[in-house]
Amino acid sequence: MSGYTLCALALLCALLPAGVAASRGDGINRLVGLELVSSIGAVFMLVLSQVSHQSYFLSVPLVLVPMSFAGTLVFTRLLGRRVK
Amino acid sequence: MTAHDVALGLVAAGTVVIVLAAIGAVVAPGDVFTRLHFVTPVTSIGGPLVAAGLCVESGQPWVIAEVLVIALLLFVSGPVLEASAARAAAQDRGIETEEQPA
Repeated sequence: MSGYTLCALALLCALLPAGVAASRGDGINRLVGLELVSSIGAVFMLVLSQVSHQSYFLSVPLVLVPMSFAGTLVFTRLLGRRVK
Repeated sequence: MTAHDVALGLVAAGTVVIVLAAIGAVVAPGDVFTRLHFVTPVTSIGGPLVAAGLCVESGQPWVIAEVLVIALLLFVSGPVLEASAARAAAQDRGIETEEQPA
């Protein structure tokens, strides 16, 4: 098992606590967890492309990062509108 | 020390930062503003470290360019998202009383 495989497994394991963070608390807390999941997921795919020696895997994080950016901004817009 | 060792060291360092940040986001006491601090290391330290390691390892120009673009997008979008989430949290809790700009 190469070092890159170990790093990919560690990042996969890091998705678990991020997923827990995305499933606890109120909407804003879950949104922060979602940010964490998407960021770790993008880095995991980067390492996965190195592990599998398939450079076209890089297209996934290349699309994931801008899409999660736009999606999270929409969620913050919706969740933050309740001004007291 | 070969380029492979340097690359693996960079990727491993980035991975350690990301794993610690993910664990910290769950176990650290505090509210959403505390939790937001644990997203920053992933996008600002961990991601660029992993990307630098993969660039050293790969050596192919198009792969390096693609990895750098991904790391740059993560690096730039991370703080924007955190500021936006913090503002939404402040509005939700009544700390921030102004509407977001249209």
